[in-house]
Amino acid sequence: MKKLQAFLTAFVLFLIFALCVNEAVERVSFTDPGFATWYSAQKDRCIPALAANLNEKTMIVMGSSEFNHGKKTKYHIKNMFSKEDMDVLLIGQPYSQCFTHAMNLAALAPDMKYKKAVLLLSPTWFKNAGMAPEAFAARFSDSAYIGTLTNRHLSMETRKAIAARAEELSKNNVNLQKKVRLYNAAFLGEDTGYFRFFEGLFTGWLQMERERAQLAAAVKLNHKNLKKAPGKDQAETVGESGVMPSWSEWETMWDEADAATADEHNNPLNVSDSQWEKKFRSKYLTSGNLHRNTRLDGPNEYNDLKLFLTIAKEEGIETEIVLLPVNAYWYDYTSLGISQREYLSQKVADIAADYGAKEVDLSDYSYEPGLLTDAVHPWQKGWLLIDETIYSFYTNQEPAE
Amino acid sequence: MGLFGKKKTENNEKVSAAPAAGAVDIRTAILESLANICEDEVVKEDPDINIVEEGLIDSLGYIELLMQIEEKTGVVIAPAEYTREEMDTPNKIIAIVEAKAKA
Amino acid sequence: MGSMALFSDLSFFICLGLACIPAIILGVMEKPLRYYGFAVSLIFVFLSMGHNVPALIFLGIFLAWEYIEARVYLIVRQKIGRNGRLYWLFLILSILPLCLNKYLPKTSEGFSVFGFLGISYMTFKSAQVIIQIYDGQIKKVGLFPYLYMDVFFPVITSGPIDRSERFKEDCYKVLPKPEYLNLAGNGVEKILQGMVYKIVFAAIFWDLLQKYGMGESVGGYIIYMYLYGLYLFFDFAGYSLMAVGASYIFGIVTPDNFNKPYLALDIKDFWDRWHITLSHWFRDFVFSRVTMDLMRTRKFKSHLVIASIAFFINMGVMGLWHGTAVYYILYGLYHGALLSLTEVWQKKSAFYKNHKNNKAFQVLEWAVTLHLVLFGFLIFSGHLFGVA
Repeated sequence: MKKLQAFLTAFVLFLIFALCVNEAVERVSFTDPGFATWYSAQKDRCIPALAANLNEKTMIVMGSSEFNHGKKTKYHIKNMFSKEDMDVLLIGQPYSQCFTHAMNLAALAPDMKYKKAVLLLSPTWFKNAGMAPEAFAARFSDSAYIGTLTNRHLSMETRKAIAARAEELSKNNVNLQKKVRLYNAAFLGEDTGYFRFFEGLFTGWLQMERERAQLAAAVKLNHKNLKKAPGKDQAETVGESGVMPSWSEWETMWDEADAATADEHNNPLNVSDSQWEKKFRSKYLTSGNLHRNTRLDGPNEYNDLKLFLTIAKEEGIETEIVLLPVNAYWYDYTSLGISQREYLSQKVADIAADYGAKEVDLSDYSYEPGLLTDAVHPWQKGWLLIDETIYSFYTNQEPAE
Repeated sequence: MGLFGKKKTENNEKVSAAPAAGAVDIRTAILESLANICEDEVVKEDPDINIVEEGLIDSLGYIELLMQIEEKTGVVIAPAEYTREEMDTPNKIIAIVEAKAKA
Repeated sequence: MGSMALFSDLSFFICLGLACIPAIILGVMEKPLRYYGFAVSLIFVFLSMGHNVPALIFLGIFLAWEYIEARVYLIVRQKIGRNGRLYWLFLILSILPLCLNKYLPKTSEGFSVFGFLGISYMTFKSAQVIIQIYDGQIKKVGLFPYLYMDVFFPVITSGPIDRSERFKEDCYKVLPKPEYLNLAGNGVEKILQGMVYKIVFAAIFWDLLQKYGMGESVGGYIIYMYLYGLYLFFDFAGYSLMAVGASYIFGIVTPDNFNKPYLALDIKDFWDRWHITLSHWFRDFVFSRVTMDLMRTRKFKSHLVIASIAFFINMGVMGLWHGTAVYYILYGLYHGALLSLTEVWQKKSAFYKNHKNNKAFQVLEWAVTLHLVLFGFLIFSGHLFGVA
């Protein structure tokens, strides 16, 4: 009798505890001024929190680790523009690639009021087999996946394609695969039994609560930073709201950025000197053939890109694809030949045209010294380049002469 | 595998032949077998001695015992029929066999 | 109907929780639990196998086959007495379904003969009944207790293996309220403990295994060995605890399967602590019989030789029962060898006899035993053969 009583007491205590935690999490705000441009894995994983930041004029910008670079410079997108100039929601972490962003887009689409999205493509995404299963497992978001499967605007064909790709990418991770199969059965299956359906619902709810709780904890830890609105550090941000600076204004900014880092890239690769010391110098002599067998023509990432664009089309979202520049000195040196990079540019342009998306190819700038801090990440000038491209798309204006 | 005691057993003695016709004294037969198997006359002297605790017999010894009981008295006891505790002294064993013989 | 995985799926635990409520009410009211338990067991049989109609059909055939066989053999035994040939015939017939299941290849549709959940464990019980009829210990076989014993849901998946007469006794016993509450309380505790073992610890060690134990170097294999040993224990002991706990709530005191196995001092002790019901079943129905038969032939004078042969046969069969893969057989023979060598060592070595109560020696003994056991599990996992 005592053990049964102990069990019941413990169970009741647990319920009370769970309710309290739930309350605490519910009270955390996900719409602080700095939230939408915050670089955080927890934020990117929690679709409801992201959706809460989709205002009338919010544009989604998806990328990956570049968002974590240059945060202290005035050219980083979150410092360059205030919310009145350009309201963006940044989503992207290391290992984010086309497929995970496809799911993010599909899950957020129903809440988008300003139906525009930018996808910053890094050529590294296209290396060999595209998205790695480990990367997929690291970036997997239950709320994004469930949101995708339950988005009725998408055709069943598209949703089934996503389900199949997710199952393929989770084959190395038994637990993830079980979960993916459960969600597929519960949310897409035609013949699913009651028990499995219920289990899918419950598991999904539990996982989304977990994502929410983790985000709430991260928000609490960072709440000071999140109070700062984008562009706050700038005495003046770019232009006035919605007005595109002229080309001469952009060129002035370019020269300024150039001068700011003029003395800091005196090395054979034209990366920043500090990165040269840290990452490149010691392996420079032996890296000649590092990327000899790397190819950029494998089908997977291109197919994932097509999936992304299919979703954009079915949801009526105007999309711009920006092919980011890479450090050509490094890739030429390591034998990732220019022909591969040209193939990539051409193929991306073709796919964009097929799906009616805008495309901007920044790979012409790959030989620009001081553009990137290392092989792929934007430095001050690099950010400026990206900023202009995005702002132009947002305002639908080309800079005047 | 639950083998008891670690007493050295070197069993290579021939067991005595088929049961004599007529009534066999169960007590004598069992004590004789036990003394052979445990290689110790103490089982005759102290029929309440705990042969498991004293390390006088192990599980192969038990099986040999059951075999000899069957041969000498005709009473069949299966290996798993009784627990160690139920058969851990000579007197207990004798009591069980006698009860079975009567049934 | 879905295919519920017992003791694994969330839906199972919810159903179990709901099913336990009437059981506890009946137990508190001092009413018999067996009919309700039987009904619940049938429901779980349908929930776990309902989607697979051939499996249900095979289960039905199996139960009918085994029950009729037991009844017929009972009559044969009563009329004809202990006839060795007939005994072997009936015994082989009772394990025939399992052999067909394991050794016939799968059909083109991918289903196997007698392929239903629990056949391996139900066969143990059916064979035990035949053996004990031969022994003369079982004199009656009732339809209800026989069927209930085989379909009793907590132990269908992987045991523990109960004995037919012990189960029957519990099944017909109605406990007074305080005793039942005590039993049910223990049952709840065991279920929770089992859940922590299986759902938390086993999962952690499995993850660690996938992350750090997959290296192809010697070091990699060593890491795999330790992590797999921990994973296997928590997974299996966790499941066993949940099975035992659930059976307590339904009034059956199923025997435990694990008793701190990694504290074993030697291999014989280990098998008294790991998968106890399996090892005791083999001890009582294989090892002891083989030993007795060998002794009767009078061909081997030495107990040590007899014991060694019996160990090899016993553990070899145990290995084979797990499956036909070469590493299962090797695993069985490996333990056969270990047990034989241990027996010889303990009986013949003066060093052992002089030091066996010495603390330092015991620590050494424990460490050696632990690693021998873990290496055995490494074989068992199939990892050395590129399987896992």
